[in-house]
Amino acid sequence: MRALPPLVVIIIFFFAFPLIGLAMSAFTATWLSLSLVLAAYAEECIWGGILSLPRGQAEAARSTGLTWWQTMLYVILPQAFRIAVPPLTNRVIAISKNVALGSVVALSEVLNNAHSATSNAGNPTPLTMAAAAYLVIFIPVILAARRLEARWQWKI
Amino acid sequence: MDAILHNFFNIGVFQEVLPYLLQGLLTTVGLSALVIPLGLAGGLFVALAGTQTENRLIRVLIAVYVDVFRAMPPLVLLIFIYFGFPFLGIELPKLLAVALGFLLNNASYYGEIFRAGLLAVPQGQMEAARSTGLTRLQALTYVVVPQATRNVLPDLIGNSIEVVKLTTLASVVALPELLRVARDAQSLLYNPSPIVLAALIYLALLWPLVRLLSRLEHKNMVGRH
Repeated sequence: MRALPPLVVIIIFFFAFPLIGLAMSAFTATWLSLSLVLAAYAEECIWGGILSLPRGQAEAARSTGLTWWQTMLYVILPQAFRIAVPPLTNRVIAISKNVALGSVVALSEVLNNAHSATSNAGNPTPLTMAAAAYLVIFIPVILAARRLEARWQWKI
Repeated sequence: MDAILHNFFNIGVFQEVLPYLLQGLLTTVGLSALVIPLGLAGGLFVALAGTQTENRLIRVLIAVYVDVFRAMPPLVLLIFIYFGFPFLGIELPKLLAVALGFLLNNASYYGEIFRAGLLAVPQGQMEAARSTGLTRLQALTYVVVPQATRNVLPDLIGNSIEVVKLTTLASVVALPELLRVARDAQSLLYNPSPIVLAALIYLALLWPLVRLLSRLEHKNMVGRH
């Protein structure tokens, strides 16, 4: 999933799956593809977080009598998540921006509607508005992500 | 099962469309070879402009540029350039529109990566280089930038993989790269095998790079303790 362009995944879901009897709406296709892609990246980020923890953490937790699951749940994952926050927020932003790809399969999101409106009006103002809309949505997200990263930074 | 084989892995169709897809692959690779160096150069410029100057105004402008283009989905940018600019009387050829969109978008991403790398080089490096008699430009070129690049090499590779994947967006403005060719073949033959084949080609192209990247990243992380 990390090697496949998201647009290819969306197009396969939307244009290819109906031919084997698995038709889905543009919304489902976009949603499903982007979720799968994000899941692949999230796995990578969190795995990286887990790997970067010293082994002693798990060993110490096990030696206090916690089971493997308890160790994961109470000791390893809380620390790993913190380490994984910066790459994860980047990924989440990247994937949300990919929602614009839905316009290719005629999902009526901002870009697609703006594009049709531009053809109807013979004037590109709707496109400018769409671009502005994306900025209004995503600049706060980027700023929030920066704050989250700063707050959750793992201080050693 | 037969339906899947017939529709997704149709050998006859594979053989028929392979030459076209390879043509498309060539365009994809060529496009990547055009936009990645452009983006790297633009990003390095943005990062240097943002970190090496004391001028507040330039710093603020660079920060705004980076945030705006990181917040704007590249598809929106591309469609804006390709379908919006002609209304201003600026009609760009497809390739130029795509290259411009990617340059604007990538320069902000690469810029952010280079910035992190530059900030991680200790100040003393620059001072030591200057005190040996190198000019500021020489110190940057031979001492600071090489170290900065090394610091962020995995991120640079990662972003370059993203860029190769983003070239699929060029299909939207009918630039005949791999995905576009595959979609055209699909509508002609009424069989989605070409798209599956295109996906396989992307996998073959990018999977080794993704594995390499994972190894680099994990090596860095594990080595820290």
